[in-house]
Amino acid sequence: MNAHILLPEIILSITAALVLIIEFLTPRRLQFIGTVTILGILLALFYDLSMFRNAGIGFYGMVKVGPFDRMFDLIFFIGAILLILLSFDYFVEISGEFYFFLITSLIGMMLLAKSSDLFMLFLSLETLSFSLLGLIGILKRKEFVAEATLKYFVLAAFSSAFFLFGIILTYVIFQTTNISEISNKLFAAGLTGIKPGIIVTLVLLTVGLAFKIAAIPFHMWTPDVYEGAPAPVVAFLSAGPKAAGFAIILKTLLSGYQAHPEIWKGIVTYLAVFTMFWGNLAALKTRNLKRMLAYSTIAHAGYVLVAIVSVNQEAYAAIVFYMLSYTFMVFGAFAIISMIGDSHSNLEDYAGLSRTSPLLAFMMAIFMISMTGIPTTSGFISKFYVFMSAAKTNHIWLVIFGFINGAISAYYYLRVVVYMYMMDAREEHAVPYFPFLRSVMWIAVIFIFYLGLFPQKVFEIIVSTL
Amino acid sequence: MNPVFRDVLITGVKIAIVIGGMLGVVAYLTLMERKVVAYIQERLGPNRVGPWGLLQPIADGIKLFFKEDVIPAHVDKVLYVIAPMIVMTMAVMPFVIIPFSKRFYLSDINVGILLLLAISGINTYGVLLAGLSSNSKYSMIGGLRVASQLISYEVALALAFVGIVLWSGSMSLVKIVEAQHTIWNIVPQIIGFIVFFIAALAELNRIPFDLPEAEAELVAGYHTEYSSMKFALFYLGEYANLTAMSAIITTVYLGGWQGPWLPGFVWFAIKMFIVLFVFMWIRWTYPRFRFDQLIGVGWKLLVPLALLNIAITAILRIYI
Amino acid sequence: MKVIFYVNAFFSLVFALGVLFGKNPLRSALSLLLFFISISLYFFFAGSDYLGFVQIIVYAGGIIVLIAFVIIILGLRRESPDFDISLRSFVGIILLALFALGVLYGMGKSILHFVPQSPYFDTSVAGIGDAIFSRYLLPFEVASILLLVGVVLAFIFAKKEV
Repeated sequence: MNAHILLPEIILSITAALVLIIEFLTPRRLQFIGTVTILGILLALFYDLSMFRNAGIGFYGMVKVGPFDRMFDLIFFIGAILLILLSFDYFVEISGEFYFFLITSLIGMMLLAKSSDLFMLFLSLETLSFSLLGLIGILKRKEFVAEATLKYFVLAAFSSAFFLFGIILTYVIFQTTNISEISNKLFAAGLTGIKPGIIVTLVLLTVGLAFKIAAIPFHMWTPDVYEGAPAPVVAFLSAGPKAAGFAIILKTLLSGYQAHPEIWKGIVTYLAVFTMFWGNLAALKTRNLKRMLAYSTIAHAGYVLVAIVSVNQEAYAAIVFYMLSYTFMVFGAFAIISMIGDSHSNLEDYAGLSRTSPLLAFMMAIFMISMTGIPTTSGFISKFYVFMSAAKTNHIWLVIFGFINGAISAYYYLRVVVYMYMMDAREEHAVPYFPFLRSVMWIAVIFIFYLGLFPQKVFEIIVSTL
Repeated sequence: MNPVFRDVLITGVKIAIVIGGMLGVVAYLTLMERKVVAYIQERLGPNRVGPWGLLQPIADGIKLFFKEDVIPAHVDKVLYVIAPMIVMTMAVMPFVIIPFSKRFYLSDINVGILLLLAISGINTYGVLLAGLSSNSKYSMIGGLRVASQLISYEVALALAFVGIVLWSGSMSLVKIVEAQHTIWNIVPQIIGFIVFFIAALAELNRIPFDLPEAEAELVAGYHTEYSSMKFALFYLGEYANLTAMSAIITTVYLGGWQGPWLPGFVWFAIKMFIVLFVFMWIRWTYPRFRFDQLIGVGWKLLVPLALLNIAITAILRIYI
Repeated sequence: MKVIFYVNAFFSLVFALGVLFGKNPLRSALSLLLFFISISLYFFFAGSDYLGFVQIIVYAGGIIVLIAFVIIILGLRRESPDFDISLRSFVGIILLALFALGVLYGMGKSILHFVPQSPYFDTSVAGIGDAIFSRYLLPFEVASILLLVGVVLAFIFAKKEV
């Protein structure tokens, strides 16, 4: 059965139960529960890293763990720890179940990245979606939160239905849900064995996945959820679960259907192009920073899809690198949004920030520049790797579209900088000092520059896990 | 004779015997209940119609049959008519799989216990729909109460069944009875039996769990608006449910038809009537629960007890 | 047997449509109940009594009762307005029909070609128990986490204070 390869998940499950019990015994001691959670996560991380190079199949072929999957774990762990740090300052008083949902979402994401069976994939996907629902709706009395929660719930259920339908039809065709068996059968069938039914299942699976990574035209939930949900949760949402979404795409499309990539390449190419353009163009019009970042996260998903289209080893590494660097950018940006305040996230609220708190304005500028993809920041390097992989596989048009979009995105990212440095504030009020939010901000900045200036080492590690 | 035809004929006769017998028992249970309550309260009970009131059920039946069938104006007619039918049908259905003696049963399906649970699940709709379609506040509150009570106690009931299945190693009622050859399930499953019995009381809406038809608060609960034969169906359905539940308890916990000297069928009847008597005894001895207490008992006492029972049974099964 | 199967298929379709077009929410819920029961019949046809009864117990005995509860407690007894065929819903119906046709066409084509050699499934209680505790152990455990999350979620959203 090989149960030890899921030791990190088992530790996290125990931590989740512990969190519930602690919350029951001593309710609402946020920092205590948060610390317990961090300890559990660190223990899991320790075991994850100690088993980093151990590859194996476990639980009767339900999970298949390799170092590459543990690379994804790393992104999830970073996201979770940063979210806990943000939560200490951001939430005044919430119930401790917040951390329970955090851990279960972590479990869901980790199992997603490791599962090698469509059935398993679906269950972990649902665990993730439900936990995220808890994270989004934790401040249920606040404005817009109910709307965001309901929208996420309905659309997550909707997309899961598509995904499940796809899984069932896959089972009908292949008589198995195991991804490597599907792949073997496809290899055996050859190109002439591609029946219309396979295309149907592929379309259904892709629709389900496109919802998860918020690709056009399945992105409708993103802006509203991003606007309504608490800022730290939004940061987590666009780091961890999005990376998990790409992990599933790698699982299903790239390893399940690896025999014939040409049958899904067309769909994903169109998804990538539309996602990039629509995300960036819609972001131009938005004047609310949270909504704008929602559209920007759609656009970023488009860039990563470009890497998926160019099916080669470097592209896989580029995806992981992109998600890693995007995690830091988005957490940094949302740390500052949390400091200014969720309900003050219009562009006008950022006017004159350079005068009231120059440090924050400077940091925000760095995050925006990094998201635009200007050299010396990690945003540039990650885009560079993605487009490199696309260029190497002769997807020149995709690269050109990517550059055009980079130029478009510069407008709305830099508009934030313009507002902060060149506009006058309507009323000036000082931003209070939040130690944890600031620490997250500093961590994010350090890693953005580290990944931006010395990417070679990290990239080599990622490539070596393939 | 054509063997298929013969099989159909034999099954038909069997069904007729079971249903006829059961309806007879149900009819006379009304008399039995009144007699039992009378003696508990030191009265004589019905004694005018026939010797010891033996013809009383027939008189009652005739009376109900010839009463005017009033359908109130604002009811949802379809649901209003269907509801009593569901109650009565679901009350009769458990007898399909109950083994009355070693050879005499209508059918032996290998997931019999699940059938019982499914039946009790559908049974909920009878009372729920009666409460809802009547369009009256008493009915509606009664219907809501009964539905919440039934689904709460169904959990305990199902968990008690899990203990039985673990112990007997089968879900077929015939096999469960056979497995009780040396020792009745009530001994190793005593916790399960207690849970099951209390849950059964609640499922039957009998005192101390008769909140859905608490006459002091709700007139007659979910069947307030029913009259004539439809009311009679509810009334008979209640007693049919009582009979079915007694038969199930007999089968599952008291060794079914097993017993020395006497034929199996007689043993089954004796045990069933003892259980019936206990049900009546409890009804006329205890006061009623409050509603929050009722839900509390179900979820906070019976469910944990049933889970404990499952754990104990599992351990016993491994080490004995 | 085949006739019963098709009759049941027809009725499950009727009940499913009844859910959509029922004027009264309660009637829709009852259609859903009948739909679930007809679905359980498919399990019986497939020779899996266990799954059939579990379908009835869980969906008919549990979930629809809760749905009916919500309908009653929220007082959703008003009849919903008639379906208006606006342009938007018209386009939606057309697209949905195309999608359904595509799925049917694709699947019909493929199942004819990929001759399914149905893997043997032991659908008895013991067989399902074996499957749950061996091959499907991990999905089973993950499902338990999922249900726990669902319970806590319901608790969080339902309790009074934040």
